Order: sequence, then C-alpha cells, then structure tokens
Amino acid sequence: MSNIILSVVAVIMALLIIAQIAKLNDLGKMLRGKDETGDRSNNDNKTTAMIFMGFALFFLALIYYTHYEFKPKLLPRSASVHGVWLDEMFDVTGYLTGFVFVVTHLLMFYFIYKYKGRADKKGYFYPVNHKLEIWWTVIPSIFLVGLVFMGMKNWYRITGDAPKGSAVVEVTGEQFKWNVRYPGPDATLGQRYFDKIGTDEGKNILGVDWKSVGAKDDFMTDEIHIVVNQPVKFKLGSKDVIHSFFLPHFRAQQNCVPGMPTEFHLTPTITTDEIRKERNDATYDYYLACAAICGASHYNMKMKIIVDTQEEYNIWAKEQKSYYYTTVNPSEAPMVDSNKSAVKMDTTKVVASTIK
Amino acid sequence: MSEVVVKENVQTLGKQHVEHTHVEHSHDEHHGHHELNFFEKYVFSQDHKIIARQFLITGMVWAFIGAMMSVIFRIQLAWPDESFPFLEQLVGKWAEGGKISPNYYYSLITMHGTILVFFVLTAGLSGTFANLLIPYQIGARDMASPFLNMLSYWFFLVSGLIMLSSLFIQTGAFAGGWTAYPPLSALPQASPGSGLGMTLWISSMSLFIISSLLGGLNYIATIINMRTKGMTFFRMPLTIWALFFTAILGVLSFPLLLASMILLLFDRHLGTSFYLSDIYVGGQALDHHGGSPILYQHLFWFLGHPEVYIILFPALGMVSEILAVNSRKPFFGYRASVVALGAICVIGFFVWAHHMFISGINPFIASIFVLTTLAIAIPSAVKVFNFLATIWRGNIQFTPAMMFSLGFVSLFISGGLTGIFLGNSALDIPLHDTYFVVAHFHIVMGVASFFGLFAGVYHWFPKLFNGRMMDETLGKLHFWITLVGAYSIFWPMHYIGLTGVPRRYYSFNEIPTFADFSAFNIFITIAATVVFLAQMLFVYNLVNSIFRGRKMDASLNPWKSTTLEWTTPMVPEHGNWVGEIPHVHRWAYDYSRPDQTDGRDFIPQNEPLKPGEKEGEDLLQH
Repeated sequence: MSNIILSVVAVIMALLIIAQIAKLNDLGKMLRGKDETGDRSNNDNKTTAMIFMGFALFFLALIYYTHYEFKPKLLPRSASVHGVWLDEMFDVTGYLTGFVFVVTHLLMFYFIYKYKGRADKKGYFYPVNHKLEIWWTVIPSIFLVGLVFMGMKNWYRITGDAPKGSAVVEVTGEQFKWNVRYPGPDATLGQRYFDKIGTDEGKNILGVDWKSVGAKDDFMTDEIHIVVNQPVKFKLGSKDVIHSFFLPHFRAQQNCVPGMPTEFHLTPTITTDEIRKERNDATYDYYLACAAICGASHYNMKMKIIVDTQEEYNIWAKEQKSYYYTTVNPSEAPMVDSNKSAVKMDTTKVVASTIK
Repeated sequence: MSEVVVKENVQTLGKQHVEHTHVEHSHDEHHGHHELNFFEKYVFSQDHKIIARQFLITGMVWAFIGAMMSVIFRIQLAWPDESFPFLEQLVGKWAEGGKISPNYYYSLITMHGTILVFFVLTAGLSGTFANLLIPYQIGARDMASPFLNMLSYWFFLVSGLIMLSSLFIQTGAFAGGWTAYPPLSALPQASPGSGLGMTLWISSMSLFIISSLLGGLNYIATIINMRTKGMTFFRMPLTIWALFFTAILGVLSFPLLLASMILLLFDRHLGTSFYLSDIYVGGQALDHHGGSPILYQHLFWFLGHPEVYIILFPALGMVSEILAVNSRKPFFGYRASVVALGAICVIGFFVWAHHMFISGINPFIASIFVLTTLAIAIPSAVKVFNFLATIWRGNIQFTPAMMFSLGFVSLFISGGLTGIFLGNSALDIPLHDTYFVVAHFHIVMGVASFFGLFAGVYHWFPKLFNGRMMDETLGKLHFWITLVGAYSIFWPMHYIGLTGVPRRYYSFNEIPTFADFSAFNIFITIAATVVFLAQMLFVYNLVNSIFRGRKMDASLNPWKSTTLEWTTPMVPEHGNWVGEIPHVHRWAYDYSRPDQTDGRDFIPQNEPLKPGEKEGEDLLQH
C-alpha cells in the first residue's frame, strides 16, 4: 500500500510544481502588460501557432513511424479469392480518405499559422457562400456513391450463395472452443438438435441425431483442413452465446448465433506450405479466432486452419475416423476387412474431388 | 392578443418564485428573492446553473473512475506475463498475485465503456452544457421545468451509485461488453458477471434512461417555448441547435433501450424467450425456444447509434461556437450547418444496423444501411468544411478553448474518415470487432467529444463558476499533452486492427499471429498513463480556479462574444438577469462586420440594428 501512497504523493507534488510554474508564467505576462481588454498578445498567439506547427511535424512522424513499423507485421496478402477484392477496396478507400485527411489537415495547419491573431488585424466577414456549400456537398457525394457501388458489388458477391458443389465444413462455437464437423465420405451432415446435446453419456457434444441421414460417418477434428482453390462453405452455429467466426488471413468473419444458423463461404488461394515459404517461417499458421466477446476465455478461443493441396487433403481425410463409431458407439462400428475399408476410403477421394 | 401576458410560474421548493414571460412591457423583472439555505442552493437546487455544475462534477468523478480502469487494463495488455503487486493491493482478489483475472479484465472494459459512453459523455457532457447554455443563450430564466431538471440529475446520480455498487459484489460487475448482447448477458451460467452484476447494470441503465428522458424533454420544451423576444430559431447560436437535436435524438431513441432492457430482464428472471433460443450451457439444454439474440441488437443499436450523435452533437455545437468567437468571424455557412446537423439527426436514426453487418442479418438489409451510413458522411463532411472555412482569414485567438476546438476538428476528421471503411459492409467483414474499430470510435466519439467537453469548460467556466477564469498556461499544457497522447494511443491501434487482432482480448499471446505487438502495447500503455496523469492538471486547474481563479474583467465578456450568456451579471442569481431579459435583434455571429465603426469587432445579439443595417448572413447578398 505504501508504494501506491508514495506514487500518488509524488504525482501530486509534480502537478503542484507544474501548476506553480504555470501560475508564475501567467503572472509574468500580466506584469509585462497584457492587453487591458483581455486580448491575447501577438506573441502569445504566435507561440501557440508555432507549437501547432511542431505538432503537425509530430503527427507526421507518428504516422510515418507506425506505418513503417507495422508494415512487416501486417497480415500477409489475402489467402482467399474475395479477400483480394476486399484488399483492393481497402486500398481505394484508403487513398481517397487519405487524400481528404492530408488536404484538410494541411489546410487546417496552414490557416492556424497564417491567420494567428494580431491586435492590429480583424477577421474577414464572410458568412456564407452557397456555391461553395453546394460544391463540397456534391463532390464528396459522388465519391461516396462510387464507394457504395464498389462495396455493394463485393458484398453481394461475398454474401451470395456458395458456388454449387462447395465443400461443407460445420463449425460450432461454444465457451471456449470450436467444434468442427465434416460430412464424411457421404458428403452429408447429420441433423442436429440442441436438446440432444449431452446425450449418450455426454458424448454427443453437438446433439446429432444419429438416425438422421449421413450422421454416422461424420467426423470431428481439432484443426480445420480446407483445399486450396476449392470453394468451401462454413456452416456456423453456437451452442451457448454469440461467437464470431473470424479468419483474419482470409478476410472472413461471420457471427455464430445460438438458435440461428449462419454461413460464410470462401475459396482459399494460398496453401499453408506456400505461406510458410513466403514468410520464411516454418511454423507460420492460419488461425480461426473468436471476435465477439463470449466470456472469460474469449481471447483464447482459437483453432488452426490448414490449407492443403487436394492430394494432402485426401491423405488427411483418409485418416479421419467417424465420431460415432469411434467415440459414441464403438460396438456398432462395422467390422470390415482391410480390402473393404480401402474401397471405402476411395470413395472419400471420389467425393472430395467430384464435389464440384 | 398581444396584451395577454404569458406567464409560467415556477414554484421551486414551494418558496422561490420566478417568472418567465415572452411579452414586452410585462413583468420581466426578476422578483421573489429570498435567502436559500445550503441544501436548497447547492444540493436540491432547481437552478439550471447549479444543476449544470452537479452534472459536470459528477461526470468528472466518473471520468476519473472510467479512465483509471483503462489504465489498469492497459497494464495487463502491455505486460501480460508480469505481476504487479500494487494491483493486488488496489483491487484485492480480482488481481491475485498481481495479475488481474480475465473476468475482472472484462468487467473493467465493460464498465469503462458503459461509464464513458453514458455517464461521462452523455450525462456529463450534454447534462452540463444543455443545462448551462440553453437558458443562458436563448434568454430564459430557467428550464421549462426546473423541478424535472433537478429530478433528472438525481436519477443520474442514483443510477451511477447502483452501477458503482456492482463493482463491489462477490460475483463481480457485468463483464459482457458495454453493448450487453444476450445470451451472454442473460445467462449467469455463461459468465459470473451476468448474475447480480447484470441485474444491477440493467437497473442502473433504466434509471439513467429516465434521467436522460427527463432532461431531454425539458431541453426541447425550453428551446421551443422560452426563447426571449427576437430570438427566432434562425438566430439561435449553433450550440443551441446542436443541443436541440441532441435532445430530440435522446427522447426518440432512449425509450427503445428501456424496452430492450425490460425484455432482457424478463428473459433473465421470468423465463421468457425474447432473445434466447436453442441454448445449451452449463451442462444442460435451456427451456427457451424461438427468441432471437438479433432482436436485442436491433433494439440496442436503435439507441446505440443515435447515442453516438447524442455524444457528439453537443461537442460539435460548442466547437462551432468557439471557433467562430475565437476566429473573430461569423461561423461560415450557419444555415447550411443547421441543415447538416438536422440531416445527421434524421439519417442518424436509419444507420443502426451498420453495427450488425456480420451478425447474421439479411445481406439485402445490410446494403440499405451501407447507403444510409455513407450518406451520413456527407453532412459530416459539410461540417468539417464549414469549420475550415470559419478559421480561414480569421484573426485566431488561441485560448485553451480554441485549441481544444481545433484539436476536435483534427480528431473529427481522422476518426470520421475511418468510419467510411467500417460503414461499407464488405470492408466491415475483415475489420469488424478488431482494434481498427476501437481506434475509430475512440478518436471520433471518445476523444473528440472529450475535446468538445474541455473546450466548453474552458470557454464557459466563468458562467459555470461565479465569473472566475481558468489558468490559461495550465490549460494549454493540458491540451498539448492530451492531443499528442491521444493520437499516440489510438493511431497505432488502426494498424493493430489491420493485422487482425480482435478487440476485447485479455492477452494477445495466445494466437501466434497476434503476439508481435508487445512493443506497441507498451508504448500505448505508457501514452495512456501519461494522458491520464495530464488530466490531473485539468482537475487541479478546475478545482483551484473554482475557489481562487481570476475574476472576469469589468466587461463581463472575456472572449468578446455576442451571445446572451455574457450579458448576465458576474454572479447571476437564480433567474439569470436582474431586471428585464434582454431582447434579441440580430443573429449570433456578428463578428468583424465591415460596416462597424465603434472600434469593437463584435456586436452582441441584444444590440438593436442601426437604421439601414442589414442582418448578418444577408449582408453578403446585396
């Protein structure tokens, strides 16, 4: 406790010293004969205008510093098709707003310096100019219409229906992890009902109705694997509170809402191997993060995403085992000889490649 | 009919008797004086000036608490792996081992948001200046209903005390973000803060909404009915226009928040399912079917977005006024500015779903809100151009108020422009709920409005506290540290957002892509601490000036302003003017008129037009 008290005392002392110096400064000004009418002296205004110029330099330095310091740390180029559109759109918006930012600030700082108050001057009485008002209403409107148009084009392309034959991955959020379910060899996800969650001695973690079509071969994983250049539709949901399915590298985000299915589709373009080579970092990975506050471990709700080539994906998919047969009800697992199982695995491959 | 005397007798605590009148040659005098005791004068006061002080001081206390919280959670973000024993001394079990717990972190950010948005920048800002300036600048002796005005403050105070108490309960304060989205806010199983903490949050907010409505209705009634003779709508200073629109926004949108709170309360305690459906939490499937969490978001943001303008408008209005006064020029495009404010006010009601682009709403609905959101950028741009044209060829007097106003213009531009990114639904996909958003709204709504607040306090301090002035040098120091510090805090956050870091993260270290920012987080935390300490200069200046500040000079008009508040005595009684209320003969921006010959560069609103003299804006159109 003594630390806190000491630091508080130190801060108060420092403040008092600053305040006293400021007061002396003011007293000095008054003694030197500050204008009777309370006008700021010419010197006063000049000093402040100069400091504003100093601030302009600081601002420039700050922008420069953050810009170049962050450049290597920014996200790599988008790893999805629509992400490239969005990056372009970001750049266009950035140039436009950057231009406005620079021009308005230059004008402001210029006016501050140029029109600093002087006792022998008067302001220029100029209350209105309708033409000017119309111009600076119309010109921004035109640019904004352009931005809306660009935005809408991208928005409808992104939120429209997923391309036919997209692969399907189901992602369900819960406090504080993601559950990922693949449709398995038959390419059909089993039905789910929230009131079945926790049945089968707690093993039915998603509430799947095992009797529904395509349920038993569905497999669940700890990582998301998707195939490069192949559209994938994420079917999103949540068991408890709202989560947000956020893939920064793919410029993708969509909320997971309990009681309301949502979806997001994208086409990855850069495999995990490629991005590792590009970044020269053998451990670099894409991540799924939660972006909607969901409770104490919100910041730790993550999952790796691996973008595979079709071949890599097929190998991986082959290794995945049905959740139902391995975890829920192993006794029901079909006894197959190795030949048959090989045939079965082949269908995975077929499904995965003909799904288009 | 003109002989009919319109009187509004206002009974204050059954003792004081003030009269308002709109008709000339009537009882304009202020009579019915008597000595008030301390409680009547300073505590249960119905005087708009005293209520303004109450709002200001309460708001400042809240600002201190809210900012203190941000410093504590910034410490966690800067040094997530280190332990700070003083934190444990400060907050006890919430920071065992000198490291704040995730739940406490989330309580802090939630309370920081709630406190700053509602208690400081809504009540503290518009409560202070609407109360102070509306009667003063339109020439009224007090609000339409001083009693409701007093109630408005007391509801605010009680609401604040309830919120404060939630910090000290065993399960902790609410921790689901200031927007309080269900189901997280509805289910105590999902977060300990959603138990008693959330019940207190809802109670507090409900009282706050009542406070806000009482205030807002009063402001509207006062502005419409109690303008002095000659004060037509288009002679009102821009501050009054801004406060008028603020009140309209509040009165039309706050009831929706109350509705959403009540439905949430039902879901929490009475088993209804307005917002809840198909939920499995804490090991059991809940018996809620058919509700929609999205409904809450619609209701919340129907207030939530106008709320942004409720926060911003008073600052915009005051900055407009201060820029004109200190540039010694008429505000450029007065009518255009009023129209722009009106347009923002109307469109502001139709942009709410831009907070919900990725919530799962229909993409078509979202696209309509893109249109309205970018449309609102147009009147905002007009405001900025009007600001710049106002200082152009001015004779700029750098008072602390003027400096904060110029800072406001810079912040309003910087923060407003990033809104164009976020308002476009497609770009919102990668940016939503990242630090980019944090940077955007802190600059445009948080810091900018704070600058408006500071500008207002420095400018109208003599009217708030008995004709005393604040120390200028300290004010300027306060300005420079705050401006440099604020940009240092929030500028880098744009980039952190561009690297994909979501907001409301207790630690960046869990996800390798985000772990690269410790240097920046330390930089931001140090800047935040410095800015926080610099505010102590302001507090010192404020308190010291209340008791020992230099008095205004004999002109009683230190900034040579045209508006009516500077026609009141050094220490105005309840009723503001001794004798008649001044009448208004001209607009509020007669600065540096070329046809003025008396050596001054301003003409107060209550000076009659000379024969042949044209009024303000008409002067240019021969």
